Amino acid sequence: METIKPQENQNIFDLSLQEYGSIEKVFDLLEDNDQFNITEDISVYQDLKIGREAFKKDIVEYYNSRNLKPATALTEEEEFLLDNFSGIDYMIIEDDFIIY
Amino acid sequence: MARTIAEIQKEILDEKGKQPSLEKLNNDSKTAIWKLWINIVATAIWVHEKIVEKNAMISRPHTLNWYREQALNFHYGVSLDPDSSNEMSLVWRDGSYQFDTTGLTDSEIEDSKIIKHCAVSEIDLETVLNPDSKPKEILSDYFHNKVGVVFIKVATVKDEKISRIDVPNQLFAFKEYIAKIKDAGNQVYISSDQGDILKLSLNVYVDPLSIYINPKDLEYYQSKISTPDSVLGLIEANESNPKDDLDPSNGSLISDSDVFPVLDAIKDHLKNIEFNGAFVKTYLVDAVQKAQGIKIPILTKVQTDAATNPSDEPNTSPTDVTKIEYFIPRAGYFDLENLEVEVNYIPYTFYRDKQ
Repeated sequence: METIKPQENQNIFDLSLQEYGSIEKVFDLLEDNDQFNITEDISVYQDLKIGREAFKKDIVEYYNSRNLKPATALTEEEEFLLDNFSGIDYMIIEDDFIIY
Repeated sequence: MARTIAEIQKEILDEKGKQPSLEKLNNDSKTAIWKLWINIVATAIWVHEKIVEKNAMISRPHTLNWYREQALNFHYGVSLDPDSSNEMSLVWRDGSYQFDTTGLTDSEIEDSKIIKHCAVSEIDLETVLNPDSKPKEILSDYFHNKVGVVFIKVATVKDEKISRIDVPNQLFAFKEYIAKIKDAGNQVYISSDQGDILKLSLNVYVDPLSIYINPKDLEYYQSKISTPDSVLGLIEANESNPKDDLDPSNGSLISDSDVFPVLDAIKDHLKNIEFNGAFVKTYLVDAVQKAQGIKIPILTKVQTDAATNPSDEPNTSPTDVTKIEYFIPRAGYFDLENLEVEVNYIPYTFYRDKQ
């Protein structure tokens, strides 16, 4: 078993894709790291154990050869923006769009 | 087993093909928006299935086997916390109660597992409410799904001998443990008793060439066989017990006076009955038959009873169960220390008898 360091803004699905070529390995990845929580963010300081057989080798190769690291987690800034929807399209009549 | 994303996706695609109203979705690009949505939905279903699968795996239905496994997994340690009767605290982890064994070595953990034998059965209420009932053929009850009480018989191994767990300390802790992990509302009866008393009487025809019988005792043995039990009782009451005069080496091998083939075969057989296994008369006879120098073993009398406490009056007249072909010892095993075997040795000399 080897260990890897997650990059900034990577979540567990990104790592599964990067290392095994599919998110279908995400539960194996979690099991190897003694946790069972796919919603919790992972930390760049925490090494992850990997070393199982890849699910789709061509995809792993694709990421490796181009040195691509998927990172789709939301940054704090993005989360802040997402939490504060307002205006037309986001308001709901009689909920936050009330006419007195 | 959870399906793969591809399988789920294919099912959605197949279903889509059956719906004429969805024919408009015909963009054959691999990344057409409707195909991407199918992929997203399939992935969501897959994640859900994986989680359900994992949950199902760690929260197993509480069958009798589950109870047995939990009992064998019981760890007993010295109490540290006054509220708990156990050193290793029971913690809720991964959907079930588990013992917190952090900081203990493997051998320490193994040592604390005191329960080595365990039998779990479910008995209907009638049997439970009538504890005085004779040991009867309750085996069939075990296999019928009768609603009642879960019975757990446990035993440990001390000095390579099966024995009950320490009462009351260990038993109390074990009861607490089961009370905590069992399903709410279930009735669980836990017992760990001393081995049942067993008294056997046998007539054994032996080969006089390999097994020693003192010639002066032959008459006594013969009379025991030919006299009916009721008459024998009267004779024994009147006369001084002739049993005491018997040669103690009767039944031993002529070549080695320390080996008693019949007794050894019986002990060996009883030892090899699995925990809470049935005592079967025929099997015992078969086992004796195989011993050296034995021609015809006949089991004439079987008596058994649950063991009494050491402080109580010993039970001198165990229940006669000769007519029952098989039964299960109340404690799950027999007390081999106090096993009583009475053997009448008769030389096998039919070939010289007048026909």
